[in-house]
Amino acid sequence: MGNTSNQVIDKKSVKQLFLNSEDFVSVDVDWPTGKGILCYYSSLADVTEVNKQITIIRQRASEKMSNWGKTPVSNVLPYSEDELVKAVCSGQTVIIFLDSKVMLTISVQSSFCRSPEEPGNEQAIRGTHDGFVENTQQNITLIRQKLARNDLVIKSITIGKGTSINLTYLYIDSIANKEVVQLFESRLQEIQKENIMNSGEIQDYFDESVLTPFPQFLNTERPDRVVFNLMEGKIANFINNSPTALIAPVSFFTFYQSSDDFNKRVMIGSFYRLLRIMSLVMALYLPAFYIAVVSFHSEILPIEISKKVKLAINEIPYRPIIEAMIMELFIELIREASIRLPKPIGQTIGVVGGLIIGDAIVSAGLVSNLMVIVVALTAISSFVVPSVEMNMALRILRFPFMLAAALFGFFGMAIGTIVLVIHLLSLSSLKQPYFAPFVPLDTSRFMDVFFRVPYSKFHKQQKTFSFMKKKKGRKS
Amino acid sequence: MLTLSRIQFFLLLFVVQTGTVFVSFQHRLIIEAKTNSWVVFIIAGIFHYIQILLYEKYYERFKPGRLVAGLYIAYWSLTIVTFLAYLNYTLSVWIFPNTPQIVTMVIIVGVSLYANMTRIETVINLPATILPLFPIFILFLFMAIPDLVWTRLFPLDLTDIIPLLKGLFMAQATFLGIEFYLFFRKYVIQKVKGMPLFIYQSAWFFFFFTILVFILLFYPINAIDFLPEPLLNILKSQKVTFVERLDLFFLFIWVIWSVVAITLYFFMCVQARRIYFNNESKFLTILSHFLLIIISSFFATKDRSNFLREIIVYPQLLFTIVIPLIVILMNRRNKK
Amino acid sequence: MSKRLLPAFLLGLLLLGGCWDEAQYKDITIVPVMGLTNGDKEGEVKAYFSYPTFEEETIKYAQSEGTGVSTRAAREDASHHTMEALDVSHLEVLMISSDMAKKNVYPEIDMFFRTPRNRITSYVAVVEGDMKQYFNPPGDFKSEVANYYPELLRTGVLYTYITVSTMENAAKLLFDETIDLTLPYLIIDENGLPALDGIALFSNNHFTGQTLRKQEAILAGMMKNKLGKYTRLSYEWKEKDSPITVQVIKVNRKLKISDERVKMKFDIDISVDEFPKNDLYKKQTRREAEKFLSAEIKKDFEKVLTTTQEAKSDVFGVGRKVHAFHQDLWKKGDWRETYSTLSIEIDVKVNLKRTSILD
Repeated sequence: MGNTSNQVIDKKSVKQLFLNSEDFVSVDVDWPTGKGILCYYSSLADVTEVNKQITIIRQRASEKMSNWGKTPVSNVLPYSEDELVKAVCSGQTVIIFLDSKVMLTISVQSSFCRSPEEPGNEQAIRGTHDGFVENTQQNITLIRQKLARNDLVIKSITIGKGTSINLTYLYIDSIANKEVVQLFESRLQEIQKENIMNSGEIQDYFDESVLTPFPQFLNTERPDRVVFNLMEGKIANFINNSPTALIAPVSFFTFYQSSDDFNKRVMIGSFYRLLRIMSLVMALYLPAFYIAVVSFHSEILPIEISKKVKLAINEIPYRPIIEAMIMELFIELIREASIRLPKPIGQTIGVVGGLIIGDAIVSAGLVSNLMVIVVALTAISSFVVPSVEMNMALRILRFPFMLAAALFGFFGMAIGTIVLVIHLLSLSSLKQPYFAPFVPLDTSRFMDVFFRVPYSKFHKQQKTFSFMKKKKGRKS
Repeated sequence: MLTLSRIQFFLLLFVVQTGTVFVSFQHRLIIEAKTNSWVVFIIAGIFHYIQILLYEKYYERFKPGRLVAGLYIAYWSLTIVTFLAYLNYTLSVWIFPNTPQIVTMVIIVGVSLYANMTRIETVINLPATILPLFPIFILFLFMAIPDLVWTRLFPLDLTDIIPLLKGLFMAQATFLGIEFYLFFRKYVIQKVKGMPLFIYQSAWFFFFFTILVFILLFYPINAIDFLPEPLLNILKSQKVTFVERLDLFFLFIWVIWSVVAITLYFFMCVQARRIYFNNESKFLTILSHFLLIIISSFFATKDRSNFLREIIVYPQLLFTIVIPLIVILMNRRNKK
Repeated sequence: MSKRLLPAFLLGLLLLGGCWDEAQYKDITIVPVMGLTNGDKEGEVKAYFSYPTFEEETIKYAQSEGTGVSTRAAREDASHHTMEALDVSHLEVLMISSDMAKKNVYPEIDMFFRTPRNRITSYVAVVEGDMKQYFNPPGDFKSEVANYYPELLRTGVLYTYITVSTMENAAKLLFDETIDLTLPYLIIDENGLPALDGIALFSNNHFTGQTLRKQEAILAGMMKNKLGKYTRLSYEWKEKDSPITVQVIKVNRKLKISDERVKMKFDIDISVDEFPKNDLYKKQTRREAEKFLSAEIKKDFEKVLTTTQEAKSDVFGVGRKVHAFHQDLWKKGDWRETYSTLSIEIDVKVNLKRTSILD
């Protein structure tokens, strides 16, 4: 800032500062207090609205009001090149006053944003059908509308050197744990200097263990999901120009809640929640179980099924693990291909892949029809999870289980389970235990994992992590 | 400092105590005490309660020095070797006759190493995760109820005292790990005395007693000689519609249970080293795991694992009764 | 370094020929039915196997036989001329020839009972005569041996023709001093087809040669208080000049032992399944029926009891109570001898609970 005083500011030098960009406009203006230079990006500013505001502010200036520059959309700052660049780049219109070395910023950006449509990858049958958009202000509006309380704290911090990423985070002061908020903020301080482009990178900086398939942030584009989690005492954060909210701290079972559950009847909601937990077990164990049975423990099959199984696998040339790998690879290929392709073709690929190749691969004798059933069931179960990240984690995890089953049968699966549990126990999200409420055991919220407990029965504020009690087993 | 909640503490104690002995202790108890073994076990249960009450009363005075802590580490290592050898021997008999024992050994100890290398909370909370296995196990066991013959509890013959004492001695196997109480009681932040302790004692007693009585009622006495793990055989004879061979699932429940117990013993060694020697070296943790694999592999044959299981009772009596007594008394004299 | 080696290691595992204890199901032939008989030489065992084979996506059935010094050796011998190794871990029925059963049968069962991989819920049965003809019945046999015997015995248990006689049960009772074993008894009937004839009585650990046939076997099941799902008895009611068929709902057995005298008291709840005379709506007739049935059943029970006493086979487990509470009687001598001379009094009371629709 020191170098501004001995430098001549004029239209040209300002234009130079913005490298003579075609959409950069700088014109001289007359002002009641002296001469000024008006500059803005024509691509970012809403010009007609700016004109109106300038007229109003000029009026205030000529009436000699003491704070003529301070209005809801404008502000007066001391001039500096950095501030100028920052303001103009964020779409504000700036008037630089050469005599007094101050600048007036008017933030009337022209904004193009889509309407808050329901996000494609998180659909709900009943419940609100709105979703976040690429504009943080509008996203916060969506949340505020649902949470009419004054203790919803919204803070924002700018991080990064070259890129000016604006991170906005929200929490409810009376519910969220102070320690967690402090921890979150201190982490933010640490990464303020880093060069960050998108929310995925922020996740990496925040994760306590990077080498794990399990997500430690919940990604969502649904306002109702964010509100629900805020009410449980979590912190949500947005990056500007991204429709995704990151929620932390989360537990493993957070990923299994869907906003649909709460709009269903108690029994039906509970049934589907149980189904989802069962799908977790299926997605992890089914192929491994099948492999273990046919290569180690065939004696556990009742004789009637046993004959069918034997008939199916008798003339398959490969061992079950290879069979399973072929099929899994096949399913992953179909999935990946159908994401990339436009929707109508994607469906065709699904049909071609699923029906035609699936049938052909069985009649060619490469893979047994039982394996096709097993792999298909597993794939379906893994898609039941209402979170994309967790779905990915499950799909990755079943490969080690399959391998363990192929090597040691049920013993391999048992050991794999213990290792997985130990891993889950050692994980934490913002220093909160990841495997809550199982560990540390909280019986009061235990039921909530498996069943949709009636709302009328909630007696105390539901929190994912009970902060009231002193945390157990922790070094203090 | 380490802190434990009441539930965590009792769960840890329970898994350490039940661990691997719950499939094996009945065989030898019944061989010694025959039909009287259920009476013998009730007496053992009373002893257990007295012992644990005394522990509760004097645990604050139990302040071992480095020598004693070192001795305990050695004793726990011996216990680990015994368990590992037995577990591997049983595994090789039941499911892995051809797999080299070193492989299963490495896998099991590897789990313990992994758990002990992560945060302390991980191991402390580990018993809570195997809690769901408990009702499954009990459910499987209760399916055998129609096959029980209650007259097998009789006749009682309490006149001959020698087999009873021998049985009582065998029942000591279920006390294994009780010294955990002395070491970790002081980290518990909630009230333990009175009701909670009684509930733990009841849980301990009914767990072992139910299994013992089921075995007594299920098999004629002389069949027990033929079955080293009668509990596994009970479950094997249950027929359910969806799957044959229920025992296999149970066998793996037992494997998981044992692996967790072994992990906890390792944990005790690591913690004792941390608390009494101020040593948190990861290298030593790895080395100790590695060494115990080698030693246990040597003992994983029928003769040697049996030998270990027979002799483990003597150091157990030494370390659960004699040494605590000496340490507590010494401490008392020092105070005066 | 180690991180780079890990994927290579995993890949190696994948391509590896399999693990040490792998037993690929496609390389095993499961044997549902097996028969054991004495071999030609002293101490030899001859084993017959019936098993499904899978070729060209159809199931066929094949048979094989082998001899050896033990059951396992006989199996190894048979495996020499089967395509895949025979695996008895799926065994559904083990048949033992009556000649073989007349010695101690436990040694033959032991291999099945104590090998961890084997299931112990399979049935054990004793067959009369030559074992070979049970695998190739001389008559016009329509179904497959491998399916026939398991179904036959399952039905037998369901209708109380036999009581549950699994491997595990048999092994346990062979060990048990206080009760004797019964096993299903199979014969080749006059049409040359294998059929369930009743139960074989064991004494201590060997087959006595005595059997209880058809309705006697059902009555023995009632006396043991081990009923299947359906238990039907038929009698010719001479006074009324009509047959009567009843279904047993519940049996309540009380055993009283005092001074070497045993009293067995039965309370039997029945429902009438068939009585064409149709006058059960009269209370009088119902009482008469109860009286008639009580007398008939008592008579039959006594007959069954005499047979078992003659065979020195305490299949009803009188010994259990004696062993537990009457040590003086138990220690009098060998229990089987004591049992055969014991005076046992039977008392039967039939309660007609339902008359089905046959009012």
